[in-house]
Amino acid sequence: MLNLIKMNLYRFFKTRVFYITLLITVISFGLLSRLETDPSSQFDNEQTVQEEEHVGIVATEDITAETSFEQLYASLTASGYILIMVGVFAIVYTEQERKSGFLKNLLTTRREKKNIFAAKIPVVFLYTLIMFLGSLLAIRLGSLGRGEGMYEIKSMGLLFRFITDEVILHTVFGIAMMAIYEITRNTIIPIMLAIFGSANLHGMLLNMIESKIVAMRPSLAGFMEKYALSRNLIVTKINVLGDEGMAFPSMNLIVVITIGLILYSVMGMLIFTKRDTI
Amino acid sequence: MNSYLETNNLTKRYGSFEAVKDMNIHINRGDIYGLIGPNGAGKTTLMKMLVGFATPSSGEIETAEGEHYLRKVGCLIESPGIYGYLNAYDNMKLKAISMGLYDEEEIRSILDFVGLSREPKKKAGKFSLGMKQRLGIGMALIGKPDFLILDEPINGLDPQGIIEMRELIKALNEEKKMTIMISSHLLGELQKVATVFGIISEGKLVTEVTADELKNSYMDEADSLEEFYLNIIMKGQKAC
Repeated sequence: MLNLIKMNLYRFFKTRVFYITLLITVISFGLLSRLETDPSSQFDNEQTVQEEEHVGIVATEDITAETSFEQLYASLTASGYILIMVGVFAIVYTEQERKSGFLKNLLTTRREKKNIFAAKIPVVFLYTLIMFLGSLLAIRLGSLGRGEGMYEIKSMGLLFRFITDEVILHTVFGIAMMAIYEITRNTIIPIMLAIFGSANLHGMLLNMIESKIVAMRPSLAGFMEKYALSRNLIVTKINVLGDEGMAFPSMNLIVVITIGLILYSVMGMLIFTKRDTI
Repeated sequence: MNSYLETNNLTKRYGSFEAVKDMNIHINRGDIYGLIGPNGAGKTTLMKMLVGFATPSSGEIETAEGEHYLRKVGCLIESPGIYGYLNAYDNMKLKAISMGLYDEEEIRSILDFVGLSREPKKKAGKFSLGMKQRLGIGMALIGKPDFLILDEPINGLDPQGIIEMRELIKALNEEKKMTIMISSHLLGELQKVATVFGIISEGKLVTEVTADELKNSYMDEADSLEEFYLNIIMKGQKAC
């Protein structure tokens, strides 16, 4: 297993997609942060309207002069951009191994097929971490020089906790995409699902169904308020972390992460093991 | 068991279709086993089961090495498993790391053996088909396998490439003492290297014959392996 992880890490740093997506991310977040923190664009109604109509990476919260760096960072990174990148990277990275035929080299020498799937998880984690650190650097640089005390880091601990939570949540999403790729053995379907998933369309759909259920059985309202599935999806948690800034009940998050991590990892490993690999 | 590898009623089903039916083959240590059969006869499926890519629906694979025999198998099935964006060395290094056997000298020596040491920086995606096949064999040689399975390694090669591949296979068998299973539709070429032939048709083993038996007993009836193969296959079809 350790050898497979080492091999994947060596391959990861030789993968051009990683460097290209990192560069695009750093440039995008640097520019975005520069624009969002521009004092001349803040409190401008016309600008606000334009932002609301804009589709793509935008801050999920209003950015003002009082916004802390942690809030700025949380608001920008929760836009779903990194989530799409992680999802697509996980799919492309997994697909490359199969499409190139390199997988055959791994299969001839070991019986534990599940390890081949599991050994890619650290790579998805590392990619996510580097994307978050790259965007952290870009957003920091983009927000510098806006005036004394503006966009300062107020709590390093909260920032660290936010990054940790987001990196793990994004990694779980990446694992889910890898598992979906193993089910479909097709690139287009998982990529479409990654895009829809990162926009939380499945969460919205579930929420609508849950609302219908509550409308039919009002006695379930209390239960749904607490345990509704749509509130406990990986993508919902990612969005909520960005929207609500740093305050977040940790135990709930740990439960969601643990279930997601186990569910998707086991699903991926089982499918990979049970099906003929080539 | 006397053989290096035997299969006992090995069968592979895909739904209701039986790609391989009750296959019983015997490979001795040091053999170059030529696997012959028409398209769709089950050659690749059989090879996939032997290297663990596909799980048999029923039957067994028995080897002298026991259950760990897969650790000593190298293969080149359908196409070489290489990353086109990496050079030959990096491709081999990846496989070596995954096996916990990374040794720079060993990789350089294999690259030299398969004749790929002259273009160290060229990306594998830019290689000719022959070079890719040789790299595929090079990858299969990492870990010093005892048994090499090559599925149509000379397909698509130019005459020079075919000669190089033939020499490489002979060298692997004679110098590195490897047992080799090789499938090909180029029977004349196969006749030059194989020591045993297994003919399969419609998922079944029709016959197994050594090169000596073929030469001594059957060459009265047929002038070449090609003719012998066609006779066998046609007899089988008539019987059906």
